[in-house]
Amino acid sequence: MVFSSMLFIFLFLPANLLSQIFLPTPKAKNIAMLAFSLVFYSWAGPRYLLLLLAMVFICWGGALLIEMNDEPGMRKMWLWVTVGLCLLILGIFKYLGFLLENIRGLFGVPQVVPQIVLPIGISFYTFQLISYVADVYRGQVRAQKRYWMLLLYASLFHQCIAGPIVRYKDVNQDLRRRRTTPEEVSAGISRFAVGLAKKAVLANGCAAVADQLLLMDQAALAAVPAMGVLLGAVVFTLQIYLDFSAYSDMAIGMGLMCGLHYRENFNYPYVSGSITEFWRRWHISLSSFFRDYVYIPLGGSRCGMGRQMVNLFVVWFLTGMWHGASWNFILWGLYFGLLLGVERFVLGKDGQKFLPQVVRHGGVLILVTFSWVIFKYTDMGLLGTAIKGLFGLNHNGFSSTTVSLLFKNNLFFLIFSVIACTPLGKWLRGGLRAMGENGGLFGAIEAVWEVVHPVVLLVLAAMALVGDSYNPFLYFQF
Amino acid sequence: MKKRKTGPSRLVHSVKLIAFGSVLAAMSILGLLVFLRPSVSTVEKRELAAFPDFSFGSFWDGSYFSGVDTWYADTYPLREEMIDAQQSMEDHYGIRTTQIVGGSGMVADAIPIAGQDGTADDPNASPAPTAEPTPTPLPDGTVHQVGEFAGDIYITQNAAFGTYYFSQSGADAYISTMNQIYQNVGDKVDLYVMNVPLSSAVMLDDAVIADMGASKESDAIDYINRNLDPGITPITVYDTLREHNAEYIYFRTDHHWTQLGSYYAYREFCKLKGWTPHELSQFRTTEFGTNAYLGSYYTRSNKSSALAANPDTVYAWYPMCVNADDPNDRDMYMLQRDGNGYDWRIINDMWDYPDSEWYCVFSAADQPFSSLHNPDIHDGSAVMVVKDSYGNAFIPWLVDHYEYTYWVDFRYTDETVSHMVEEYGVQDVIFEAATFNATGNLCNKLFLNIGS
Repeated sequence: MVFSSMLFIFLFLPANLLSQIFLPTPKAKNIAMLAFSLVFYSWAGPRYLLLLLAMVFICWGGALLIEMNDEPGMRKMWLWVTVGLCLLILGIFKYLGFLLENIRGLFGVPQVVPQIVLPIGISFYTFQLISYVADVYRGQVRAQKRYWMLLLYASLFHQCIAGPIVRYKDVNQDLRRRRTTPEEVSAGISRFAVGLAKKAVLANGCAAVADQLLLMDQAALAAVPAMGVLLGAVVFTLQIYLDFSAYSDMAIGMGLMCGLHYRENFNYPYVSGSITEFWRRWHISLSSFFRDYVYIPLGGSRCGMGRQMVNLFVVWFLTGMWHGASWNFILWGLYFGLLLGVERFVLGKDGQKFLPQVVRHGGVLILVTFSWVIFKYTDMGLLGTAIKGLFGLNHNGFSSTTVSLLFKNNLFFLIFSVIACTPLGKWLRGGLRAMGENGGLFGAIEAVWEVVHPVVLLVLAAMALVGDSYNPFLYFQF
Repeated sequence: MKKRKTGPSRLVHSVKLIAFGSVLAAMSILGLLVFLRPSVSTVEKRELAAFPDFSFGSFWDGSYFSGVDTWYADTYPLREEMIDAQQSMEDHYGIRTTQIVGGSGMVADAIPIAGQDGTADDPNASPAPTAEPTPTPLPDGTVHQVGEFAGDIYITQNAAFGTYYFSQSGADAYISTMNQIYQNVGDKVDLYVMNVPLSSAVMLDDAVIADMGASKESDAIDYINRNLDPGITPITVYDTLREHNAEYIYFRTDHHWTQLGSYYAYREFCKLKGWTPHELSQFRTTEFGTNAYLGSYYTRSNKSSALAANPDTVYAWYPMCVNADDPNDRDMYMLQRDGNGYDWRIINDMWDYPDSEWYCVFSAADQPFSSLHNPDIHDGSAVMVVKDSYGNAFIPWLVDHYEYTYWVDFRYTDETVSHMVEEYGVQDVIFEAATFNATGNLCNKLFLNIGS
């Protein structure tokens, strides 16, 4: 099940909220939340649930064994055994097919590569469980003695399949003592509605445009003129942020409605003035995971330049790999590793400041937009064609009627989508709040806005979601 | 001084919770009212998703739940109203006086130019072989669900135009089939081939079409015609349609030609036959869906408001041999795709049909087999029209010239032309196909069947 489905919004979510409102104790709420989460997770097929149960069991037992042992060597051993098992399972389900495919490409064996279906959310919940075990090892949290509570943490439907990667220490207290206030529930409603509309209206709308330009057929893509590929790349850049951040918005919003507080996962990354800043604003829970559990343990930046470069390479290779078992994701990760290396070791802080702000922001947008083209195509042939197209090397002209019409037909929508990627709305909201502090007209406007906007966004999102199901039978039967 | 707490008051938050909760609850309850859920969408011409049947296999692999998801969204009450509201909103997404809709990603092959494909000087030569594999015929009994139009749609001045993409392999397969049919029946009948262009080819400037990366349809028709066996007679309709393109010869909101458009094709056919064509003034006329017909382009363009503002009217001319006055007088026979046969009317009153289906008034629309006996002619003359939906508007002009007119839709019949010529003893066979069907890979396999 996904958040942006009619069934989720108008059946699953209301039922879940009712359980969280009317059940009397945190324990009862948690049991209900676990049941809802398991149903949510099983929606794509209950077979994957067994894997989730098994991985939680491994980490639950591993963390208890770490905590029970006082001897550092044994603690470390159990840490490695537990994390190793998690990574082994992740590796089998996510990377084994890719690995064997490449071995077959090089050596001709094996003849048959098993087609292993990737269980939904495995990358997210594996990292959550690893962070939990590592935090227990570090003594930052106590091991959870109740298996079902750890299962609740890992399977919590708010973030289980699309993040953010929530740390156990961040939600443990909330799970034990739920407290909700009207202000927080109200904020949660707004956040959820904004996320839902962002996904259903903006991200899906951008996808409809981008998909007409960044085509998945070699000949068709080669026929798209340079401006078409560029427009496609720009719109895909909008789409991927609006889509991904919308899921985080919805997760954070639903959490607030239930008394659970998740950390921010995005902070307007496209306003960044450097790639370093971009990664402090983009998918924060993932980059902080790699920082805390890979980069810093490897020595971070408190070591020689050579070692730092190796650390950077390892982290960005893994970041790329995390996004998918395909060479383009590895390339994408290393591309960012290289850019970050250049910023740190070549430009330095002074070098970056030397560049005018507009150049820095523009440069980041260009580099990030290019990165999404790499991210888009898992097929290397298509990726090559798209990159050539971006630079006008497919010899099909600068633009075409189709491209210019597509742009004009969606001009206002795209402008609005660009604005939605910036903090402008947040600033306006803050301004209205400041002006309405003393009541009066602005206070009334703010009150009306507060009440009306989530309702309007909910209805708009529902219209868009139903509209997505509009599927005129292309082959008209008369 | 006590600092005032920022943000709305608790009362505002409470009202907000109630408002949001009420709307969410209302839409949830609406979703539970199963009896309000639609099962068919007339606009989309499809049955909406049904609630899935349970099985352990579908439960285990998740397809059961995804079926429930699809059913819930697809049949949500007020779905069509919500879609209309969504389309109205999307009309304001940009400047939409001229639009492109579709994003088919289709790519046109280059059309070989006369004199450069090795065939212009040698009419007996076969088309140049292409790299595409030869399609294999479909097995007997296959139920064909084949498209009418699958390109992009260009909307300008409140009229829609489909884009055409030439396929070399598709065109060559079609030509081979026509030549094969001629080999099979050429000694028994006169074989005519007619390829009908889209309105874009007739109404739009060639430069606009080229700029969209689409193909020049007249070149494609030329390519087909010059590669046909010289014993086959092409009915070339492109030039005459272009000459009359200021008239109402194509619908604005549908991909078909009007019956007036097909009339000019009929006049071309009469020239080939040496007949004097009947004048329009000789026929009784009627109209359907006056300023209310919104056809396939409207549906395909996600209900473009530009098209909605400029609906069509279906004008029809009754053949002289039928009784135009009596709506109960059945003048023809049709065999439906479900195997049931009915007496029908060649210009059939469709008032009780959905607004989007008024093109179906002609010739009983797309059926595996239809026929009409002209009671005014007694010379045993007979014609077989093998056609797609464009043929429907054309057939009423023919029936006044033959004692027997038979027509089959090549997408829905399992018969071969050879067999039908034997069975019905026709003297003329007209093979009509819109160019996008003729050269479209979707139809190739069907052509092989019917041509075998």
